[in-house]
Amino acid sequence: MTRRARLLRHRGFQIGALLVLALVLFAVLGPIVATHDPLESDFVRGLDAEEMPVGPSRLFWLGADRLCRDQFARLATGARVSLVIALLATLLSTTLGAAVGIAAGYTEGERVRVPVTSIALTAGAIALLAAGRPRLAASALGAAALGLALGRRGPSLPVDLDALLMRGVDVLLAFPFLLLVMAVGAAFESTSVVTILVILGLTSWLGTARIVRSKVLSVRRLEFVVAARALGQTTPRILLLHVLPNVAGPIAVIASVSVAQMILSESVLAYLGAGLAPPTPSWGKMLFEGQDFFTGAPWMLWAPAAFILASVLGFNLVGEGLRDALDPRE
Amino acid sequence: MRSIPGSSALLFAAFSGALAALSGCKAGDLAAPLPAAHADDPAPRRGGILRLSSFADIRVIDPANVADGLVPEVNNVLFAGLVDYDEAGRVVPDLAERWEVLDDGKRFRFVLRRGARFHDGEEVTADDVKRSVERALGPGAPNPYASFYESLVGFAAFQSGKEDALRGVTVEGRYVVDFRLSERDATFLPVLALQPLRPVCRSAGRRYSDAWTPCGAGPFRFVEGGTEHGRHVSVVRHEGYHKPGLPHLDGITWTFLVNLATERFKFERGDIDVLHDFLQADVTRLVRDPRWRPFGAFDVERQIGGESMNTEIPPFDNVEIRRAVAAAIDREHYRLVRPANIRPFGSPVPPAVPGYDPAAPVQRFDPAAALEHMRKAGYPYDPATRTGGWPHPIPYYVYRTGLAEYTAQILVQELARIGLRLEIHVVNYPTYIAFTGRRGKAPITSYGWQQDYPHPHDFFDPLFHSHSIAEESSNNTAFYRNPDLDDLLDRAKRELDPAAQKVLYAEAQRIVCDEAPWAFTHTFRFYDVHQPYVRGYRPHAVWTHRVQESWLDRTGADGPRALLDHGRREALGALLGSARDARGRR
Repeated sequence: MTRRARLLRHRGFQIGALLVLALVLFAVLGPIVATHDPLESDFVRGLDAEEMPVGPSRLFWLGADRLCRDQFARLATGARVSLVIALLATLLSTTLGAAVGIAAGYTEGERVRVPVTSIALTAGAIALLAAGRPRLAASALGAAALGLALGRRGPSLPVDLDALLMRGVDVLLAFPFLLLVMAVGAAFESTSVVTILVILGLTSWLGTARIVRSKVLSVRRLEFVVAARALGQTTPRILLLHVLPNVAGPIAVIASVSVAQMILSESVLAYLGAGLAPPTPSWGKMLFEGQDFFTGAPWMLWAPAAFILASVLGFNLVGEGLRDALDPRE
Repeated sequence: MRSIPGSSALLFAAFSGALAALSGCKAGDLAAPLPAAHADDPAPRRGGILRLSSFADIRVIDPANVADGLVPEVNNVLFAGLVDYDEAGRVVPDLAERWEVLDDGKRFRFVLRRGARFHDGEEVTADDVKRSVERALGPGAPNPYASFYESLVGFAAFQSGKEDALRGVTVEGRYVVDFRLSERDATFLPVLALQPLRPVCRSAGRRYSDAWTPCGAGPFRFVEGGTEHGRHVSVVRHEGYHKPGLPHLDGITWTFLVNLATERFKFERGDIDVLHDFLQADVTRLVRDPRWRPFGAFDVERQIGGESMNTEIPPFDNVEIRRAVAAAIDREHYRLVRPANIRPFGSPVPPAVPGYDPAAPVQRFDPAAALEHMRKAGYPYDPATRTGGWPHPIPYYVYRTGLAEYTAQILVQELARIGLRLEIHVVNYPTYIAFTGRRGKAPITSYGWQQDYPHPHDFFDPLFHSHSIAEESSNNTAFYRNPDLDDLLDRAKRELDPAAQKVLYAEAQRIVCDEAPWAFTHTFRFYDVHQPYVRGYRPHAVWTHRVQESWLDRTGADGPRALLDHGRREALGALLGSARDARGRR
């Protein structure tokens, strides 16, 4: 049975794909078909006789929130926000994690000659970051990476890149994730979609790096990689043409599960008050707002909770399906 | 990914779903009140422990350092003052038997009750009053209210350490103490009735110190080991209290950091006797439930809320823009954020404050006037085409998870209708406080003011007098400066005739409402509900949980249950103790 056939016959994948498809459709079409503006309060029709938010009705399909806004419209807009953040943050974290994992795994046991300029720029970037100049630090780090990729001339030092990168990963892994994310989030005076996705992307690549590294460790010893090196192919060419395609499977699985984690992380951040600034809708924030009303207007709680549940479940099931389909033992 | 393992993520999501599914079940139904045993008998009964709770916590129990909003409840039963407030907010004698106003209002002479005793058994004398005042106002005391007493003669020299004694407080006999003021001060008696200067036992010493055992002359006394930080505080009856027959209760316990929903369920079970903190849905139900209505009451409104506009930052340096904002806000919409507690209000002084003049001008919602003010400001806005208005987005700072986070979202909608675009920036509370009080930082912020003492001066002076402007931590968050208003407020503070004072504050209110450094939007009133067996419990104009005259009248059914619960705890304690002993022996 081919991998594609195994995937399509996987029951979990089928359910997950359906949930994800429904989520995407909801995010795309929901705001279009919604009867209300998600940011606009309807104080006349949004409250019942007891001045509590109205429940699900023909006018408010999923009820109103405490500011008399349409829950359906806000959930749909929140779905867009969640998906955009989750997908782009996953792209960022997976790319970063895969790059570090491949670099570390491929150079394991060897000393790579790193241009002195790159080392100096990296040290400078760390110093700038400590001094609270993140943009300059990012520029310096970018220049260091460029120097590392292109620099063959000038003085260089032998560096155990694998040990350096993995010990860095170990150090970062030691930080409690939520605390780290909240601290970084709190450092910004205002939070936008870009801020949140960058924060999530830059703090979530560590696990990916470890998994990819371990996979690369086995791939680099395969005959075709050894042959390519013996034939004198350049390292970037070997990594792109021979190593990357052979670790793409695990990366795809990690990425699909990562989307679910990002949705959850974004919701947790919003729930804790470190997410997007209001009035932009966010599922986690809606969950937080709903808990004050759980005794009187329970739909304010269950609606966002159900969407978080369904989307996390969907992406996780897709990831599981991919993992089973790509498993070489099957 | 390392954030949350996949299985945990699923569990979290499943938990959210389960929580949501459960939420609609029975939580909305209120239990019936637990009746009093002798509801028709008005005679107080002695005994019993009153159990109170809060979602918050207290930091330190000391009248000289009232560091949070909850501790005044505890201070109030531990420390008695020379004067206190009655239920209507009037200043009445307490440890002082009487007082006289001398020297054209510049000297207050207090004659103490004879035989009033501290918790350690010592008699309260004039020396103790002076010592306690100096302890609370001395250079080392972290008293946040010290500036309230700056009209005392020699205050500045004493506070700065230049003089060893406070010249403005003199002992004129064992039971007579004088307070001399550098100028007439209509706020002196109201601020004296606050807690900071209340007499404390001699063991407290002459200077403030963190290490002390709370000891005063209030109706309840502190017991050694009666407090556990972040958990609870317990006090017991002071048998030497100077008011005969009081208090009726054996003691009071406060439990802290209790979740709001938990508080409600404990209250319904009778594990908490009075409920002060609520989920919004619960307070709405309690207020409307006829079974509970006789046992609940709103406190008087002691705080105002509004939008503070920085008069030094564009566009709010333009008075017409500020007037436009004040007219553009439909205050009824603010009320709907918390209908039971918020009342729309367009004035700087809450209606319950003595001297409040209902005839004085207030700010009102008038969308046509708001658009006209925008035109006069030079930024006309056309609502039909949604063109015009102030061309730049305006940052608006609020703190996380507070009421203001919701009113902010209403404000954004209201001001968009006159061409002002706000961008909400949610920051943590310390940042919010720093930004609002920092010169040149926040163009417009949500702000509120809670009454310290029931007098209009407590609202006008810190919020709108130019001497309240500072580079950092400015109370005057609008950085509003008007010499005419300053002069008016200074004269009103020196004016002792209530009628003349009222005229001056009405004029101050007219100026502030017209020049609109704030758009006043609402007052907030707290709700209290108690079980029917808590008798003699009434709301108070100044203090929360004024329980000195309360008593408990539980039925037999509650009594045995409480005893049973107590017995269970005892049995459990004995069991754990014997287990520990057994381990120790091994």
